[in-house]
Amino acid sequence: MRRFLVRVNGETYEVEVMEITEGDQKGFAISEVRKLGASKPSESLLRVTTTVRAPMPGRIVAVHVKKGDKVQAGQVAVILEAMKMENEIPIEHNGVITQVYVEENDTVDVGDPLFEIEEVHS
Amino acid sequence: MSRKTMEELLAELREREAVLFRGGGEKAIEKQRQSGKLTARERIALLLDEGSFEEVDLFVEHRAEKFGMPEKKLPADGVVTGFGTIDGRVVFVYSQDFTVMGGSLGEMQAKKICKIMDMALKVGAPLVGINDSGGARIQEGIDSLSGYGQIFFRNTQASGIIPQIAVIAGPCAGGAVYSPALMDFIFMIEGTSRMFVTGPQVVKAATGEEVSPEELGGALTHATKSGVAHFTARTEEECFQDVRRLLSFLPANNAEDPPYRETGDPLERQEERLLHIVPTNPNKPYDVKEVIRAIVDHGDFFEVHKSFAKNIVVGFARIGGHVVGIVANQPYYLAGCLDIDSADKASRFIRFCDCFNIPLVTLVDVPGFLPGTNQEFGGIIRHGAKMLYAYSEATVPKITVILRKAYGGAYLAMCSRDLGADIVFAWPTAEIAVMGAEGAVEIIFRREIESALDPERERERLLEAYRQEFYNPYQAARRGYVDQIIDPRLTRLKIGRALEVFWSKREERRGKKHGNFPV
Repeated sequence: MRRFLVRVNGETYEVEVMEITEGDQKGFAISEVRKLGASKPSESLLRVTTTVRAPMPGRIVAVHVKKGDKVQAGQVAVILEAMKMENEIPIEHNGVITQVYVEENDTVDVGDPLFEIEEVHS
Repeated sequence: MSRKTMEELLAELREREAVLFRGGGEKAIEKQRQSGKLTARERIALLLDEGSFEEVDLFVEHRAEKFGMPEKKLPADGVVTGFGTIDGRVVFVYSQDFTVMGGSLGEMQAKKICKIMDMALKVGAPLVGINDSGGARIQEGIDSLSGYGQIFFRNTQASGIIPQIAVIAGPCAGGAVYSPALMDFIFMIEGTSRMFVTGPQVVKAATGEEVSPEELGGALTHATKSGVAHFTARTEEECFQDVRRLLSFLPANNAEDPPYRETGDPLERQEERLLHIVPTNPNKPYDVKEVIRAIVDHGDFFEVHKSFAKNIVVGFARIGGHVVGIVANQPYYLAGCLDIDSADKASRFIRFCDCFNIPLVTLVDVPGFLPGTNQEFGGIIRHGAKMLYAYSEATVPKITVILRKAYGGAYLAMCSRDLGADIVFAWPTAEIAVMGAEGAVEIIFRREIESALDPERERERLLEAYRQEFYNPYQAARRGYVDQIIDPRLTRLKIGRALEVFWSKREERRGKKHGNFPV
C-alpha cells in the first residue's frame, strides 16, 4: 500500500493505492481517496515528476547525476557552459533521478531536456 | 417631546457601530475563515500599530436602486477605510470586506477608497490597499466601472509622490487587477490570492485551455512567471509583517529622505570572506547575494522580486544606517546575463528608488545580453533600453562597484560612469571590455590568425595579449571610467563614505512634461 498526496485544481487529495497480484498479473487499485482541502499538504508525500531543461544554449561540461540517484536540493546536477560561464544546474527539490538525457560535450539548445527527477515535496 | 440623554445617544451609536463591525455577519465570517482567510478588520489590526486605527466612513451606504438592491444592507459598503500608524509613522489603508456581498466594488465603496487615497496624497503618507473582492458590483452597472476608473486615475496621480502598496488577500480579477498594477509593490499570499484579467472559465471558453485558478493566477505563478507579484508569503501574518518591513525602508513621500536608522554595525567592519566569494576565474559562478549580505548592515537584505528574473537581484538594505537600493547581476542564473525580464525588473526598481530618494548601489558582473531569437523577437532592444533610461534619468546618488565582468552594452546598462554614476569602484578582479576575449580576437585579428603559420598558436598569443590589456580594471582606471580600485574587504566602508559624501548631491534635469520612457 502506498499513499500519495495529489493536487487537482489547487485542492489536495490523499490517495491510497493498493498493489494487486493475480497469478503473474500485477495491477493497482485505488483503495481510498480523502479530500484534504485547499491547504498545503503537511506530509512529505507529494511526488511530482519534473523535467529540468537547459536555460540557455550551450555545451555540457559535466554530468554529476545518473538514473536512480537519490539527490538533495542544492546539489549540482549538470554543468552547462554558456555565455563563458560554467553554469551550475542545481537540484531544486529532494528526489530521485529517473532519467538523464545528456552527456559530457553535448551541445544543447534552450529548452532541451537535461534530466528528469521525481521530486518529493514536503 | 422628550429629548434623549447623552448616555442614551451614545448607547445608540455603540449599537449601530456594533452591527456594522460584524460586516457580512457570523455565517459569512465563518465561510471566510474556512477558506483560510482573515477578516478585513483583522487584517488592519495585523498591519497597523496596536490601537492606532482610526476608521473613516463606517456609516456609508450604497444607493443602488435596481435588482433588489434597496433591500440590501451592506455594512460599510464592503470596505473598511481609515488611517493609523506603522512603527509610529502614518499610513492610510483600505481593506475590502469579502463577507459583504463578496467585497464587490460599487459606487460608494469606490468613493470611500478614493477619499482615503485623496487624504493620503494630501498628507503625503503611504497607502496600503488590501484587496479581497469578487470584482465589480454588477447590480450597480456603470457606476461600479466608473469607480474603478476613479481609483486608477488616483493611483496614477499618486505614483511617485507616496508609496502605494497592494496586498492581494483573496480574489482580484478583471479590471480590479489594474489598481494594484499601477501601485508600487504587490504582495500575494500562497493558496488564497488570485489575480487574473480573465478567469479560468473565460480562458477555457476562449482558447480551450484548461487551467486551475491557482495555476493561472496564484501567488507562485505571479512571483515566478509573470513578475506581477513582488513578494509572496505563506500566511497573512507573515505578509503583513513583510509590508511593515518594506515600509521601514521607505520615506513617507517623495519630498522626504528615507528613514536613517542607527544600526550599530560599524562601516569599518571587514569581511575576509569577500576575498573568496567571487572566483578570480571568470567562468565560475557564485551567489552575488553572499556579497550583498557581507556588505550591508547586519547582512540584512530585503529582496524584491526574489523568484522572478533571478539573473538580476534587487532589494533594499542599509549601509551605515542609510537606506540603499541594491541592483546586482546574479552569475548563478543565466550566467548573470541581462534579458527581457531582468531589464524590466531592474528598471522598475531603479525608478522606484529614484522617485523616493533612495540611493542606488549597483554591483556589476555581467557577460552581456542574453543571445537568442526569443530575446530578439521578444523585444530585448526596447526592454533593455529601459535600464539605460532608468539609470540615466535617476538623480539619486549612484554608486557602482564592478566585481568582475563588465562587457559591452551590458556594462553601460549597469550604471556605468557614462550613465551618470557618481562614483565607480572596481575590485582587482574587474574586467571592463567591449566583449570577451574569444569573440574580440576573432574579429580584430581574423586575417592575422588565418595567415599565420600556426593559426592556433597565433590565436592563443593574441588571446593572451587581449586579456593582458583588458582583463583588468587598469585600462578603465587610466581613462577615469573607474575612480578607485579597491580591496574587496573595504567595499562596505567605501560605499558608506560615498553615501555620506553624495547625500547632498543635487542634479538638475531640464524641465519637461515627462520623458518618453521605453515601456
